[in-house]
Amino acid sequence: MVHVQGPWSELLGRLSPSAIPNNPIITGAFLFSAVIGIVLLGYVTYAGKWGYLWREWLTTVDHKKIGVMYIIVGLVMLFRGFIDALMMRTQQMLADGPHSAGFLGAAHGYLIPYHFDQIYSAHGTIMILFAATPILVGIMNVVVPLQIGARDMAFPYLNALGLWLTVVGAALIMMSLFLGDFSHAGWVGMTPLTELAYSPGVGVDYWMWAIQIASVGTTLGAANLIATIIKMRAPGMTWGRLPIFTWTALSTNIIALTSFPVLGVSLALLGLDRYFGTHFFTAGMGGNLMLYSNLFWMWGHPEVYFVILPAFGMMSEIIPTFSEKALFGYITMVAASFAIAGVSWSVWLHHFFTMGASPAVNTFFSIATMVVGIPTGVKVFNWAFTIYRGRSRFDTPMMWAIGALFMLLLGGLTGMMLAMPPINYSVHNSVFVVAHFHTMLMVVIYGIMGGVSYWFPKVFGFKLDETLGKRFFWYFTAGTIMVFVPMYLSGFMGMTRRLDYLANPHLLPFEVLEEFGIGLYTVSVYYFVRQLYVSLRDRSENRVGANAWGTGRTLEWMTASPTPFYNFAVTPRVNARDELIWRKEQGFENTLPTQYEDILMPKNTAVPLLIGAFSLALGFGLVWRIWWMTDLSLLGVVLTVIARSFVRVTDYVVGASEVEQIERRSRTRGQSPRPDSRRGGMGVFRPSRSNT
Amino acid sequence: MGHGIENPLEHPEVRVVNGRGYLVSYAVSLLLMTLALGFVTQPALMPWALVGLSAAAAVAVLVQIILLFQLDFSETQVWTTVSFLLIVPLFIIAVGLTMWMFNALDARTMLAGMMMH
Repeated sequence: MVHVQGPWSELLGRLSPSAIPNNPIITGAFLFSAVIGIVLLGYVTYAGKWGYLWREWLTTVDHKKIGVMYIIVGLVMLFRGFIDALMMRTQQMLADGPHSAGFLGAAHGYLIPYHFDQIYSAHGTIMILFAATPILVGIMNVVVPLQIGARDMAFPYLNALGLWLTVVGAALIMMSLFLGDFSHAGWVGMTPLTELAYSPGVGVDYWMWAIQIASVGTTLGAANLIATIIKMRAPGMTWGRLPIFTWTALSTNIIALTSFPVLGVSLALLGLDRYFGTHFFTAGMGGNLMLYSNLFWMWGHPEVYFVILPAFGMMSEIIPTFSEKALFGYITMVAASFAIAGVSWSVWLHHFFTMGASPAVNTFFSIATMVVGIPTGVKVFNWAFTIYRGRSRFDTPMMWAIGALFMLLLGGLTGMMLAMPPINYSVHNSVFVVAHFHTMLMVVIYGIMGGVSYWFPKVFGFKLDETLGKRFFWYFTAGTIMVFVPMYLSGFMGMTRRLDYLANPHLLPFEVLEEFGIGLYTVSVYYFVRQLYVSLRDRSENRVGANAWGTGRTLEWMTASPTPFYNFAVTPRVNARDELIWRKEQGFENTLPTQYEDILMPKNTAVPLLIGAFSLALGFGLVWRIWWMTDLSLLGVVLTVIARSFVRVTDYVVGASEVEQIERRSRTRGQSPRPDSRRGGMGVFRPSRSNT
Repeated sequence: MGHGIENPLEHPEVRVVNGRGYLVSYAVSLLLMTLALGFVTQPALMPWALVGLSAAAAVAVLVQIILLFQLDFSETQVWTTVSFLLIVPLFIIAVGLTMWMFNALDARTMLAGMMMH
């Protein structure tokens, strides 16, 4: 075991009062979080909702609720990542040139370099791993079982475990804000900066363990989704009839399952360096710091496609629905998804073309990278041909899907430029690269926003407000253009990334434009929150039936909105690729089952939450080197898993008559609104009096 | 979840496991790991040691796949076998391309020089 700098005690490890940062910004953030936390906990206590929260959410194994919780965690972290972005933009606008003023102890701007470094590291880590990934996993969780006609995931208990491990990772990152500090070595963890000699604090440890624990959750989730898609399809759901979003979910989770272990291994090796003094990634002593970059991007690039493929899938569901046409080129779309997944394993080196590999190596990876443009191009044309001569409607999800198309075009073309090593040599580590990958990630965010507004009525039973949704879309799009177009330009002018101070004052106009852009983003966040609030308030007016958009094509639009916990009263038999359209054509749309059957459903369990709690203690103990805590919590995890294996009865039966009653209720509700119809689709949104 | 068979011990994936296969694969793995340890404790890792190490690892994988996990193309196991076979191209891509890259990289950067001194 390596000796660390500073005090250490048996009881508290490296934890001491000096771990609490003394910084007015962090104090403000702490007060903000504390007030929100107290208000939320106070509300839950005041309304007597603890039992409800425990029964319906914390111990649930329902794939829809787990999905919703994934999305909530992701949105909270998205907000945190956005605040980080706002701080970075403001710093770069303030700290231009030698005459720029300094505040709060900084020579220029208002952030000292060490703090600025932590902010961009946190921004990247959070946005990729704790915002985009959980939201996408959440959407896949909600939608995939519904699309294939399953009652739940293949492994409901494992599903809940994946969620809570992701929450642990997010919690560790949030803790680092108020206790100790976060990594200053970038979200990729630049070696040898992440080594103990150069980062003796707990920041890198927070970063490392947060990702490590959350990635276990993502890997488990990937195995679960793959098993669900392969094994749990309704009768008649052949591979040729699988909805396109489910296809992309399958391809993306194959990527996750094969690539996340590589991340786990590279972080574990870094951990051995930091905790046991080995020399895997050190600059000398036989270590090879380039090996880290190699291993990290061997995961990192597949991860990029892990986040983009579900976004493509969502676009492929939204565009046919709002064009009222079958998706153009279904088979080529599936082939393109798998081609992208396949190529994703052989392009990772383009993240470090300038490392010094031979021209032959760079050429190979350059060509492999450009090959990605072929299946992506196929997809773009398929979407365009789907819209072509369709009855297009521009509801909010469609706006997001089309916005994503434009982002893909911009991001894809700049990606083609970056795929050429000679160009890469001149713009490597410039903000041009930053602008490129943000444009690509905008495809993901646009897809996510489209997907969330598209399937929201399916889960909650009412639509999101359209007017505010469109305002959100336009302000967000204006913000995207205002931030990233100037960023492309300043990148061409040679501005490098991760600068806490800009020595060249001629870059100031770009920074001012970008600050204006982030202001537009802030307005868009306001409209998003307002959209959620107004939609909840007026939910009785926005109630929808099973086929929320009227032109849904796939299986999920056949069951009631909000979807009952068992998804389908009777497992549907699938006859066509666009099953709902097929049934409409045959006149079967409103056919009711003649008889109902007993349904076997998984029981709630607190075990995943308990394992999550132990994992949080394990992560915290590892960060602060509190060995009694790590030992006890690891033992806790192992014993809990063993104890759970003795639980024999994990299912319960929902009687046929109960199913029939629930179905009848949901039908009458859909037809005539009740007098007290200001009720949400889920109990959580109802006033406590009527929550019976 | 309705998985048909209530008793986990009657799942086909569980039924294929047998004690003899487990013990034999354990013994062989132990032997091969000892052998591998012998290779890496050589003062300088010679090229033949790397070959021996790789061979030992390959045999260990095969023994565990066949005797411990009982993977074959039966209806029960076919998906597991297919997902295992996916390792082959991934292994060639990940390890092969990495070796190609580092082989050229070490000669082109100062790192090789640093490691020699």
